[in-house]
Amino acid sequence: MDIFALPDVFFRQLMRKMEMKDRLALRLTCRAFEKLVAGTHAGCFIRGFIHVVRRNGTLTVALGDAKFKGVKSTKGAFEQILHLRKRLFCGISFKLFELNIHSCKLIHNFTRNLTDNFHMDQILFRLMTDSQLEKYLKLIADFPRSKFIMNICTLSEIDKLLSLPQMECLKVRSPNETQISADLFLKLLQTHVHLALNDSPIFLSYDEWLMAMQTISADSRDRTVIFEMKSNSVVNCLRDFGISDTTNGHCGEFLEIHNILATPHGYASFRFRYRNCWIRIACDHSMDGQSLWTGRDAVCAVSMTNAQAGF
Amino acid sequence: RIYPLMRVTLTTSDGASVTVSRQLTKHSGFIEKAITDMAVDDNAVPLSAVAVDVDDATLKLVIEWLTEHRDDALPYPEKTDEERRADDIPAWDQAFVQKWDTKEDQQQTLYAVITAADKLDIKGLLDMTCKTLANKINGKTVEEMREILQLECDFTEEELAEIRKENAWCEN
Repeated sequence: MDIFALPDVFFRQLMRKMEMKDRLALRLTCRAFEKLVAGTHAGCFIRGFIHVVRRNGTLTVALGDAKFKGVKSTKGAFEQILHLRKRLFCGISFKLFELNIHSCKLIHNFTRNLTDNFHMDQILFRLMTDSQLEKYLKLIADFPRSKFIMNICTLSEIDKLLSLPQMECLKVRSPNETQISADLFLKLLQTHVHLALNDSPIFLSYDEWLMAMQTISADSRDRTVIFEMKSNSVVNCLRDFGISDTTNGHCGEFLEIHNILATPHGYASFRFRYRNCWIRIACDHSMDGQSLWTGRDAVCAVSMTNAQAGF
Repeated sequence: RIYPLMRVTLTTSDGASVTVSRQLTKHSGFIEKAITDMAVDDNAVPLSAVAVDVDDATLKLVIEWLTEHRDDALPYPEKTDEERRADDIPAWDQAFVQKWDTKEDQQQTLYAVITAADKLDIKGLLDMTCKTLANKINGKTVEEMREILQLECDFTEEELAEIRKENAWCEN
């Protein structure tokens, strides 16, 4: 029996199990397999990415085990890659696809053409410059079935965060010490599933802290928020809740209160539960004898989650 | 309802009849549909009219595989978007495929079983045979792939050079 007498469903299934290097080799076996490679789905890969190498402006593209390195940002080079991509598969899936690309139109168009017929469960955007944001928002609109992760390393106009659609995870670093207001924090918390705000302590009042815990607690999805606060702000909130440094066990609606002065890693931590929200406050100033309650301006990491298993 | 004691008689393309337990045939979407379409409700189901082109030797292999997998969970899980992997073939299945005599026979038997698994709609068997062939060609050179799949190169030297040039974008 000739292999080409086998059913189509078998070939579709077989080609989903081939690595890219095998697809490249199969292209060279005969005309029928060259056509088969081009016309079949490549299956699901864990990870792919398009990265700009900042020091020389070239692109690295990874599609599973296939890598295109040192691709110059020229129309000719992009056309060659797109041609090969069309001859390698008609569709492909990724668990995670990362994008860290320039905002220039040529690269943006290349990215859109390359990812045509891609299914990406999650797309991770790395934002290194303000100008990338607008292009990323356009790409987000191209993939309504994907979930999005955005890592923002810099953003001069912090209010632009409000223009983002819902992210599965939004991580924001503010190296310029751009202040994130409590109002902005709560709006981001309402919009995004997981939120991590670093390098910018947030000042929350009693009501704002309570609102954050209620938001997390009431959500049926797994939610996590990680942010920083000055320890004196944290202590003010805790005291308003009726919790002090001698409280252990429970206090009103607050349960499972544990005050740990020093962990093996040199952190002081304070944990408690409010309804379905678990809160942990960690301070790294235990080494000089201070605790959360006396640390004053020391920065604490606060995490809130409704997923106890991950706590 | 599945009646484990019910027997199903399959007539092969070369005229042989094989009677098997319904516990085995429940894994075949084709036979299940045939039984349902015939609306039978007793413990003896003749399926002499099953119109699938499967010979006696292949059907015996299919039944051997079904016997080993009679307790597999149904429905067979859809795996379209799972990570590619072909290294999870159960040891019994690996031995089952390896015992198919000489290299040429093994390939022909594999193709016959693949065809039967497709026609009888036995997803687990189709998946296993697919992984078997994938494992045979994964990581092989072009020449080795041609030999395994019994392919003739019908490209001209110029065409091969052009494809190699295209592939080179990915291989650097």
